[in-house]
Amino acid sequence: MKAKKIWNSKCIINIMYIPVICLFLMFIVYPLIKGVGISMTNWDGYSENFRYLGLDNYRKMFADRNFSLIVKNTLIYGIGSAVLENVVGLVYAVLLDRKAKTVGLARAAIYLPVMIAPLVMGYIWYFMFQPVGGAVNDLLNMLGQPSVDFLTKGTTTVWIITFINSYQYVGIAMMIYLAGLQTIPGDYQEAAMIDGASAPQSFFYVKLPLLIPSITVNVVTNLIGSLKLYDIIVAMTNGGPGYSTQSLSTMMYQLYFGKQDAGYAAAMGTFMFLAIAVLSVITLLVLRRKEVEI
Amino acid sequence: MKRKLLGILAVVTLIGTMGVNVSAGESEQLEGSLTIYTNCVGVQADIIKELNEEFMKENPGVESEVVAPGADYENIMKVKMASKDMPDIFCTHGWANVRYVDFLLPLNDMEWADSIEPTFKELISDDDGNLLVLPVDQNKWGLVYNKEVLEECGVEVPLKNIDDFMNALEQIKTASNGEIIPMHIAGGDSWPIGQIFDQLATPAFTTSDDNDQEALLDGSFDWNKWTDFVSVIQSMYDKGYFNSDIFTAKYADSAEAFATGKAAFCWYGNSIVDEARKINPDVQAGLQPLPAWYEDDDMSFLNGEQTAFGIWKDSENIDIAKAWLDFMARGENIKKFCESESMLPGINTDVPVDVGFATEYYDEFADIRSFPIFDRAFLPNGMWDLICKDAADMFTGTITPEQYSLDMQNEYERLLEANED
Amino acid sequence: MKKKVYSVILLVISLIHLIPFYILLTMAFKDKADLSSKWAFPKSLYLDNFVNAWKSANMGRAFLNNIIITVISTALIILFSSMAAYPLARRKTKLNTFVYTAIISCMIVPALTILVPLYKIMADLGGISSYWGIIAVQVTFMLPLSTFLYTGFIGTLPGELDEAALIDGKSRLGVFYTIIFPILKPITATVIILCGVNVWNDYQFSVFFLQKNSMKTIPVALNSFFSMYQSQVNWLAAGCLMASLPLVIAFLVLQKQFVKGLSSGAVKL
Repeated sequence: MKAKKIWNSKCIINIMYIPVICLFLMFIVYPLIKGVGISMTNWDGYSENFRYLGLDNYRKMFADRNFSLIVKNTLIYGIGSAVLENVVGLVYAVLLDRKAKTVGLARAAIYLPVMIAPLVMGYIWYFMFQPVGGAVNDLLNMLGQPSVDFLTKGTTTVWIITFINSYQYVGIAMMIYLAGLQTIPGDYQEAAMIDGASAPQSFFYVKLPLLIPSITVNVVTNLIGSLKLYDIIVAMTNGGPGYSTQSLSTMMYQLYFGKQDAGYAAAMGTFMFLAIAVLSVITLLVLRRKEVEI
Repeated sequence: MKRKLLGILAVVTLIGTMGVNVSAGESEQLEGSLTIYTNCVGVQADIIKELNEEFMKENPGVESEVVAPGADYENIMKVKMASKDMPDIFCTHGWANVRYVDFLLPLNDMEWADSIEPTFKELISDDDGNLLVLPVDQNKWGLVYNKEVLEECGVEVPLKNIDDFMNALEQIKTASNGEIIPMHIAGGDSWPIGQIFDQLATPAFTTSDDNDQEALLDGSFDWNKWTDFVSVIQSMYDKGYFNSDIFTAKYADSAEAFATGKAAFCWYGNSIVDEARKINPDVQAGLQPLPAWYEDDDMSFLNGEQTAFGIWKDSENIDIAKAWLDFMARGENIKKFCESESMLPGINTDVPVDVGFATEYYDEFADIRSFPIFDRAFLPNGMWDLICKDAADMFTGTITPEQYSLDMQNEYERLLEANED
Repeated sequence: MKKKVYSVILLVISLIHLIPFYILLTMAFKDKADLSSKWAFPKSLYLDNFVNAWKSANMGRAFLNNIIITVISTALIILFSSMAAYPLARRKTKLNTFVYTAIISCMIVPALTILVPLYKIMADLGGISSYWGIIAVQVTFMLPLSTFLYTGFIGTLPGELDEAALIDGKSRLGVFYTIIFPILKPITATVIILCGVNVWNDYQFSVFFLQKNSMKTIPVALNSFFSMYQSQVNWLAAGCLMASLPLVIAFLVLQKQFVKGLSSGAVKL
């Protein structure tokens, strides 16, 4: 009772978040509003001339022949990565949730890619999947198989890029799950074992429900990050051939700088922002409903 | 709290003003600082930096820096233009008049202004005839080939028109049993695919007596012609004249294929030869003008500035910037720069420039006409990306040649309209 | 037996994850003219790539820039977000819930959508090619994640800790720094690892906001090895190995705290 009063008595404590709010207003909110403004013009991205177009750019976006493909690719990058990172990350965490010499090594090996700049990571994988002289094709040739052109296969290539993105960040998901597993009190599992539950049963019925908060965090942050995926695509295919592996991010970049259609690019950016917001909020609400308290 | 905020503000302003320089008063003793932005990379960028050091030695009062952001150059410049935060001197890579004209200082009264060839000068002047940049080199663009490969396959050069060219490609393919790639294109970088379209567009639309130059400029161009044009290039793709990894290969792969005799033609101008020599110093390269598109037409070269420096008209260091351009325009400096990339100089000086392997070919084809680069001269600024993307989409079969033309037409009309605003 | 199988599985997983690094290693030690398979081990230890990458990208300077930017940014991130998290975790009013949600939502904003307006602000403030400019941007974009982590963590700390001191009439900031901040060590390790790595590796902002040669950071320097007209993939590989070394060391040092910070139920949306 007394405690609550203290927190509510004076709101002066709120001062502590004012620096953060100031930075946000200045460097995120204001530019974002400006960006929405640009989306209603035909600005070319550098000159002083532009004309107000209203919602024309948005209409143009929905009528764009390539738009549905780009949205589909973005969803594969986003949802695909989120699923892959979480399933594999969880499996790794369960495997590595014990004390052994090899465990430390394996954790470090899995986490290592997080340390590499994503653009450089993209280049490294480009050298793996390069059609001529790439490491994967070298391996195929050694096994007597013909070379495969991995980077021009449309949706397959989109999945390859999704795989690379997941490879890079599965370490973070694994770490969060490891941490989650360590917070589960040991007696929960012992109790389940005494009740005669098998190992998989005790995992699915005891541990998994308790891990839902970790799952929520992982899925939502992975989803946000991967829907914005940019660097790896640029390094691997630059969105090509044509538009076949473009995501909203790469497309936006190319509209802005390549086609000098900054207004359209800003419209796509605004759409992307809203789409990510909606998707992540829905995911958050669905997962949160499943959370149980320890 | 308020005082603290004021303090922070004061510090911020202080840091902000520290960047501002005192500009030089007299031209005798130049004092101040200079920032030069260039799109050059590698050896050329290094040479500019070296020359800049020399310039500073001659002018001890000047602090000058060369910035070479490489592939990000154009994007950075666009952001800088939008924020009116331009460097004192910057490269215009072919877009002096169309993209950068509002930011450039006219350079008519510079000493070297008269040493620029009149026909070439037009390309780097604005619509009123004001000279905009110092062209260090000029790109005289033809078809570069691997001499040994062509000899091996029994192809005779020059290839006078597009039929000769197609036959040569077929001959290379059959004579080498498909071992040699007739034409290597590094489509993984996107722009090289556009390159072939842009360059063949010159003979197809601008060189013949019955050309489309005016129609392209006034907006009355019949885009069905584009359909026929790209269909021919599509047929080259269908017949397997390009490398199988056309969509993923990078520039370095082209250089490697060219250096090791695995490719006959490359579509990048003379610089590919310098790049290839890093892998195989003995590679034998040749050069010919672009084949004509129509039988009754003549071959042609493409001509335009490659590396050209202009001065920001609102620069606070215009005097120093002019001195820097004068320094660059000296014969020995021009020579040093041009010889590193086997290119002709952009201005005539008393110091002769040796363009390496290209010398004999420029002599041999001295009478051949030169034309400006197609998209720079005849399309609105901003079409390039579409040319590259749709070309790739057409090759993969995602769109038809008709669709390609339709996209070109729509974008052309949008940009024409936008440029009018 | 079971233990052996387990070890073998772990080893296989580790090896699979290390394949790209093996390729990176072989590339880093090969001459450009060496066109052998990327799997083949270099015949001799060719060190020129490291020397060339170091010299040509001026990596000494780039390292210094990276260290300055990353250390200061991370320190400010820790300072600002731990401070912000305190009221957000302790005083759950409607306003504060809204503020918290707003801060977290900023994670969603795509950097490119706001790039040009942001650049304009920075150019007007004179922050282009300056340490404080890029640090301000980096800090701002990392704050959602770090505030999220701190708020979650402080939320798990028992309220009695600081309430008693508050009742005694101590100032809130004082209580925060003397009582709360010291307990935040594990989650601070987490923030350092997650945010520090992002700042260290940032390309998209650095390439636009740090244009002067003397201000280049490592990712920008590395990318120039693989651009339009030149391709020094072997230098890229060598440079990449050098660039990731400090991060790997930081990770190994902080690994235990890092996992601890993530646990204790703190990471919760």
